[in-house]
Amino acid sequence: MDKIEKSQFEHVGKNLEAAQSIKRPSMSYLQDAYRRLKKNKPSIISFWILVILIILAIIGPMISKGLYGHNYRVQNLNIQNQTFILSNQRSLKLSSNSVFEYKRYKPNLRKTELKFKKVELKGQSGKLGFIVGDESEESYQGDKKEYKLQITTTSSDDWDSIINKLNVESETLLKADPAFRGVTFKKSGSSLVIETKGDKKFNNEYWLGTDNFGRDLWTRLWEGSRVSFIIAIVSVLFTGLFGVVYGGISGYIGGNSDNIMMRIIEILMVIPDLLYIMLLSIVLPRGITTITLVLAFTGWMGTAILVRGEVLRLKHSEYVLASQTLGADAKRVIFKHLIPNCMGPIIVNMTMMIPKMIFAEAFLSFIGLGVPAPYASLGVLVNDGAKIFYQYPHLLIIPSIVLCLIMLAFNILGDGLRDSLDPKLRK
Amino acid sequence: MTYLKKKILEVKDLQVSFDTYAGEIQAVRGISFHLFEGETLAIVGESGCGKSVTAKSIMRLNPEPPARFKSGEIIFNGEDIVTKSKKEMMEIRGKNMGMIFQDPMTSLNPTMTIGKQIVEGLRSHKNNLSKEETHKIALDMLKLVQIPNAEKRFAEYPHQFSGGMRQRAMIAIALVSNPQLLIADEPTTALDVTIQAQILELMKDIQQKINTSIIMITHDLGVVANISHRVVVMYGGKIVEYADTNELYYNPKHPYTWGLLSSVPRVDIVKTGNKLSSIEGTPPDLFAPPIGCPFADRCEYSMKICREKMPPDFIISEGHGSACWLSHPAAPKVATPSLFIGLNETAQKRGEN
Amino acid sequence: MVKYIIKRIFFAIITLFCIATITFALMKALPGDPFQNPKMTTQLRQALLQKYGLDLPVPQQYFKYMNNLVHGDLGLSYKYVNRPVSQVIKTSFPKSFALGWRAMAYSSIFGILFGVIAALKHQKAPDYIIIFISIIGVSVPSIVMGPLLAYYFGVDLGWLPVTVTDSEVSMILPAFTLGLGTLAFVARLMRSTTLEVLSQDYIQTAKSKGLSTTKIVWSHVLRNAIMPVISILGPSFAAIITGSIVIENVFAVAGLGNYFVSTIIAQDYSMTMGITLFYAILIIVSLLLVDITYGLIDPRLKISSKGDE
Repeated sequence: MDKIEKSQFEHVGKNLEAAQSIKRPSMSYLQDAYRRLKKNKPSIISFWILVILIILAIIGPMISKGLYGHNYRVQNLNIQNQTFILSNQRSLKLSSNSVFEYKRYKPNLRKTELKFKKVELKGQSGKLGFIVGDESEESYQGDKKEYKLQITTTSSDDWDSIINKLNVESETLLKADPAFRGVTFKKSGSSLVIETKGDKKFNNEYWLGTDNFGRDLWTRLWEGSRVSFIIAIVSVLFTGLFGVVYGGISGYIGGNSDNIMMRIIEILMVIPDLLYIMLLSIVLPRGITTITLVLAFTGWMGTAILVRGEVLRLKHSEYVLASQTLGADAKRVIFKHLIPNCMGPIIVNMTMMIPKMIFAEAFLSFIGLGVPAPYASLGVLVNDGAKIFYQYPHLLIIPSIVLCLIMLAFNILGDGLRDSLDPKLRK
Repeated sequence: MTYLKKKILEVKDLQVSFDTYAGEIQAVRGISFHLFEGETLAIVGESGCGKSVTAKSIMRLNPEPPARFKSGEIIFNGEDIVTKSKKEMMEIRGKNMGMIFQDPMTSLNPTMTIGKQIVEGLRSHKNNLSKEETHKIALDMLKLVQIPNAEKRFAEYPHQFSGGMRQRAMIAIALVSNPQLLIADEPTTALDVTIQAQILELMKDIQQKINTSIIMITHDLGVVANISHRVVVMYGGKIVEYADTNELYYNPKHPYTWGLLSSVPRVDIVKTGNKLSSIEGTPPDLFAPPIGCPFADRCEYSMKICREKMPPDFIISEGHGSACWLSHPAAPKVATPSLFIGLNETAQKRGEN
Repeated sequence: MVKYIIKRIFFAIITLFCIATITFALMKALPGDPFQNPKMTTQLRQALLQKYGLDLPVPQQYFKYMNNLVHGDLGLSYKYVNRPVSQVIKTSFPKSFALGWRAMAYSSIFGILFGVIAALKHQKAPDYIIIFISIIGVSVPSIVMGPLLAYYFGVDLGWLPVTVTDSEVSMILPAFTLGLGTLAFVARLMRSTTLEVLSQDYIQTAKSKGLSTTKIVWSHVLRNAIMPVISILGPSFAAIITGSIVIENVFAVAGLGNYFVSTIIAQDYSMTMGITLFYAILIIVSLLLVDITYGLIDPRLKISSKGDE
């Protein structure tokens, strides 16, 4: 044992401050929930995405209206089905072929490229012709031109020579038209690829392209988002309203009335949503209000059950007893005390319902009971786009991205809210 | 009476830490103890002192990230547990070591019959037992832990058992393969007092019958007095005092032990002012443990050196050590609080000593 | 347990009764009857109305309706004479069912599998991949997913056929798309219940007995984690039924869903209601079956009659 100085044994005694220092500041429930939510990166990102989408939904159509006078119903049949990146848009078609055999070929797909798959030469002489452009359609250059391109082959021609012939023919034929810089042919693996040359440029007036009636996609997209948002949010609000009132009263009253109310809900809940949707949609006139009501009707039961559960849990807390002792009536107790204290799960429930509503609206559009034409909603846009996806994919992909982003963002945000409002996970 | 006893378990300078997002938590900061065949060792301490982590470390039940063995050895049957592979541990668990846990309701699978849960322990290790033989052994085990109507109970589910019976079932599960070591992590904390007594009696009884060594983790000094031969007191991740049970109760040397003992409510001793005494303050933060004695800030006898240097183990007598600077020969003499002097006298008068 | 099952059956019957009544009431609220054809003479019309009991007072019609239902007669089309709803269902439902049960099977099995894997490899690569897949499955509706998959796997890569015939291969894409939402949901749910189960004390007990990880997952984790998942299989089935309406359109399947949409466009509302009623019955029966299965598996329900606290 080493030597220890006498002074070391000086008496010191307790130091309770050090012993009891609580290392973390205390926070209220909401502050803690907010802090936890802020830390949850995916939720914050989702939140901002939603904010951006909502802003776009509000001002998007206004911008394009101001700049070009677009709205959701103006049609310009000359410029149907343009994409947002215009590149020498001309349609491409095979007009005559006795030269090669091919497996697959997509006509007029994007008007910039035509692909023939698994191509084999027949090895005989023959004619090979293509049509570039379409007289009946206005291209982005503003003309309606069509060019016929034809070559003949001999039995001694192989791929390289054929492609060469095609390219030469293309050069000479189209040299006369400087605005149209021509078509190139090349072989890629076992495919024959034909591209229209030219600069790619963004569609100036129709930022995202047009649909099959020549309506501007950008405008319809944001008008449609507005409609979808409104339908979803309003129906969720109604759901919340019915659900909170029904569940709150049922839970508070308890006893037999509660039992009966719950039985009713159980039966209503088991009945499939489809039945409600069909029944109400057929009987009521088509329109936004009908859809909102129908959707609200399918959702309120879940909220009611949730609220009732929460109320039951909190019914016997001290502050309720105190309030009742002071003479508050049932209405006051329920709405001023109980409901505010179970806002957490209610908010989570409502947030998670919004994507369900948006999806349900898309489904209604699908079966033909959605927002009537010519109004647009995201559901309508997606459905219309799905119909001609093979030819004009942008009409499906762009609205789909917005739709999926909204659903994704609400889902993630709802998840984050649920985690941060759960008092059990309080750190 | 001294006779040659075999050392089953030897823990040497064990240090276990947990790596978390917020940093390293030093749960166990260098402890050493041993266990002989057929004896019961109690590990006592407050919540958070490291006793549960120690118990689980012996079986390597702490999930290994984030838990980490910083240093030390755990020698069981001559081999170091710390260096064993996962497969080797699986062999040892159940067969050579068994464990029972605090809450018997949540520690049993609610969708599996009790009988099956016992048999499972047998069948998971290589042996040449047939189905009938394992069934019989499991049944015998149920009888050994004194569960009435064992045949009927064999096919029942945990929710059909009462709390005390569930704990007995747990003991049956842990002991079915006749392990040499049984670790009991606060087995009576969730039970009421009468059942507590029954379970402890059962454990002592079984120990006599099959010579199991037991490590009893608890915070209840009553349990310690009842069942253990030797005691180890832990605080802030370290062992602050160790002794034979009787010695600890009648001749404690560490201020923390004094605090613990005096906070037990007693009917036969009148305390000053008739108040329940407790130790003020809270245990140290194991993120940034103090360099000196962990108890210093709560200790009314603490000295300057207590905060500067960790006290070593001072040997008080054979088998009794205290990690406290007060036991240094040059330290000022502090009288053991009057409570215990009185206790000793009372005990002597009654002829208990 | 028997008490529980009887209660569920009773409940299901009441619900079916309510549904039928509501449907009847709404059908009566709509204009029209099956014999609107202008070419029909008044006498013939009267005769037919009489034959089908449509000239009787409403309460009597109600009884007749219910009676018909019990015997499997779901009504007539208002637009096409001689086309009873039940016949249409008989011809087109089998095709829908072929897709439906495949979708149900693969999505529940793989959903459970993925969920367990994600939980076991919590916060490592497989977990993140599976979470990603589930998020996609939940957020991308089949209206979008269908055409996308059909295009890339069917047209572009040419691996799988796009229209549905009797061959197994042709059913891969539609069944896959149909079940994707359920797969995502089940995987997510299974993952969270498995995580919960893994943190339970009895898993620690199992470890302390020296059981291997496989044995623990199989005997302890699965049985307990699967319970909540079984109870959502009922509603998942309902979702697959409604989902089939979209899928059949995208993949050109001549099933009941496709027909359903066409009745709406054609405004053949009695047919629409008849089919809807059929769907509703299907859903309720499947919910009942799931409830019964749950009662058989959960030992706490199994033995609730024996003495315990």
